[in-house]
Amino acid sequence: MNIIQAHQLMQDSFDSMERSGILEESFTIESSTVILGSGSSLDSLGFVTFISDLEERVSAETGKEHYLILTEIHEFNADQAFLSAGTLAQYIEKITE
Amino acid sequence: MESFETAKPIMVVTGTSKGIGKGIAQHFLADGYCVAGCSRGLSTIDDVNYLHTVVDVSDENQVRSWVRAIRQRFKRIDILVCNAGYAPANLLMSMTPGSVLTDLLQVNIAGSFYVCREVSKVMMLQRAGRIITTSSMAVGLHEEGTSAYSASKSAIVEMTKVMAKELAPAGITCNVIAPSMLMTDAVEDLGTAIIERALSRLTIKRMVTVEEICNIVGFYSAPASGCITGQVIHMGLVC
Repeated sequence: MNIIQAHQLMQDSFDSMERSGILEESFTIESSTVILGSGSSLDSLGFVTFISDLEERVSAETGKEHYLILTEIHEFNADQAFLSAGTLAQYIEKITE
Repeated sequence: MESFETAKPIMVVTGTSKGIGKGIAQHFLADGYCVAGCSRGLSTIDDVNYLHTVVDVSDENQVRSWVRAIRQRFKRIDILVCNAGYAPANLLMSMTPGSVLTDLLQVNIAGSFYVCREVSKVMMLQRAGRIITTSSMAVGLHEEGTSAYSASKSAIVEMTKVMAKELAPAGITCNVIAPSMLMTDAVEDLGTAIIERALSRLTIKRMVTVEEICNIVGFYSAPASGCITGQVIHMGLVC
């Protein structure tokens, strides 16, 4: 899965959360969009929901079981105090290689 | 795996090959639930609405795969009864090998943790759910010879209370059942003397039944119990 596809899955997940009322409003995800940390639109519950939903989408898209392990994401980009959509997309690209 | 959506409530129960877990699964199957159960061995329940998977709950990856498969099949999970556990023979602390403690921590705490974590993710997506964990009368009795076991079951209570606070905003309740003694193969193996001694320490000095445990599961699971969370029901014992 490439980064563009990973971005699309994240967008699908956010759209789904908006439709189900978990997110109050929809927005377009960009590489710089903060998923976790200061500036994120997600509270802790929303973040876990997003990751769970995204795991399902990545697994369904690739036909293999994939899990988004937060500690692995942190190690993947340990210099940043927040998780951006771009970083998460790179991580998804890496684990689905 | 074939998936289908059903109006029947979906209950997940761990440790369904025997004892309390098997009794709970059979009770709620008879009540019209679909039950997804697991144990380290093969199924001992024959019911069209029962789905069994061989899972070692202390294995994080096995638990992840199992819960994901349940979600793919049933699309949702309404109730989790986290029952699987390990109860070794009583030993004074000075005689308890480290391996016994390690096994208890791995099965009773880590196993419950993994199952609750994975199922709670599904419930968070659906913004509803009931999680019921299993502690023990040992926590209230402070019985000699149960230091490692009681510690593991006490941890279940604390884990559940914290989980209750974390998951309340998602409409998920988390509660604990602390059964007293139920006549299972494992309990029978303890022998009459130990059983009678344990019963004598209880407030209600008799074995509990599976039906009495299921009554509490039903109570915690009921729609009208939506504001009951972080609670422990001790059976047969004043704590």
